[in-house]
Amino acid sequence: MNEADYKELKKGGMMRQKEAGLFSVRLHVVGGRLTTHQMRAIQEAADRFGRGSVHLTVRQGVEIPFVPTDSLAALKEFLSRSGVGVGVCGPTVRTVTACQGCRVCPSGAIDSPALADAVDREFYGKQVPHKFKVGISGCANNCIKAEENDIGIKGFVQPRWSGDACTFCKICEAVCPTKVVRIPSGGGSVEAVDLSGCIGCGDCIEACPSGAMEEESRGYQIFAGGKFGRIPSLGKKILGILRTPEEVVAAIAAVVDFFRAHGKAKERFGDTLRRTGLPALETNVRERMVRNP
Amino acid sequence: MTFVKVKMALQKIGPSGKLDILLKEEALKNVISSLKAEGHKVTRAERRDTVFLLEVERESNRME
Repeated sequence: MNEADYKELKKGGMMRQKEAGLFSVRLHVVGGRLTTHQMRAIQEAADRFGRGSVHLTVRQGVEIPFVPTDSLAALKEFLSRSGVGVGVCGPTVRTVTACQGCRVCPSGAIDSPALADAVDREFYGKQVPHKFKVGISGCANNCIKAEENDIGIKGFVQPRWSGDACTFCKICEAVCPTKVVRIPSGGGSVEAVDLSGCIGCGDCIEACPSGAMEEESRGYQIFAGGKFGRIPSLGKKILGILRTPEEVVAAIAAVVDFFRAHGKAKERFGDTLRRTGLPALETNVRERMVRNP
Repeated sequence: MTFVKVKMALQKIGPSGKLDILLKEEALKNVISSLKAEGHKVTRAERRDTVFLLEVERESNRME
């Protein structure tokens, strides 16, 4: 097989193994969710075309290793009949990872799987200068490790303090993990929460005995430029708190276009941002979102 | 475990009865949110040095 042919296969999620003539085939999995029907098809495919095993990847994906070159097309066809697509590799938008979100997890603030589906529909497999990963954590507990992704998203619970209902027990101050909640001792309408430091965990709301600390709204906090690999770095917060999944998808579209315009081949997005500076990205994305709300 | 102990203590008092509990900071969120979820009310809370004293009013009819 020549390199051009291999590049095409790799783009389609079929990765050459160490042993010549064998491939590990990456499957299309969104947010780590598979139906039992799909799982049975994957089991059957691994038995029939591989060596009866699968590999669970660190980003919630599934790969079928030990597939001979001449079985790749048949495997793809077999899986597609059960609604299982093959994955992507190379300089593309990769698997979207997500937690179970607010429909399953008691801590969840947003519907992570639904957002993962929306992001996947819009961006999966699209060409970019280098691999580009999106991860969605439903809340501040951050099980998906949002900051390790080129774009990370975290659910955010915005608290609101009402002086009238407050008994000034200061339990909210005690439970705040970042110690940004400061309740005035004698009452009044002093700003209780410094939003720049709030991580949106909602602990103050859950712990408040009097209901003075309430949920004002829920939203999405966005991080850009994170990665792991050989030289890890954490993504940085951008854009404040977004309010809707549509805003998140629009923001990602603007970020992806920014990466296409400014990124170099084989340069991760975080490295692009180190050259352009984060403000250049934020300005660009904000302008785009104002123009195309 | 802390909430289990609080729940057991609440079961020993009658509906709408009151219970005082002392909680360390790290137990506050889980215990208070569990109390609220089960319909009990925290009617008073104040800091006592390194712990918090909570007065809890048992929910009037559910429990057990």
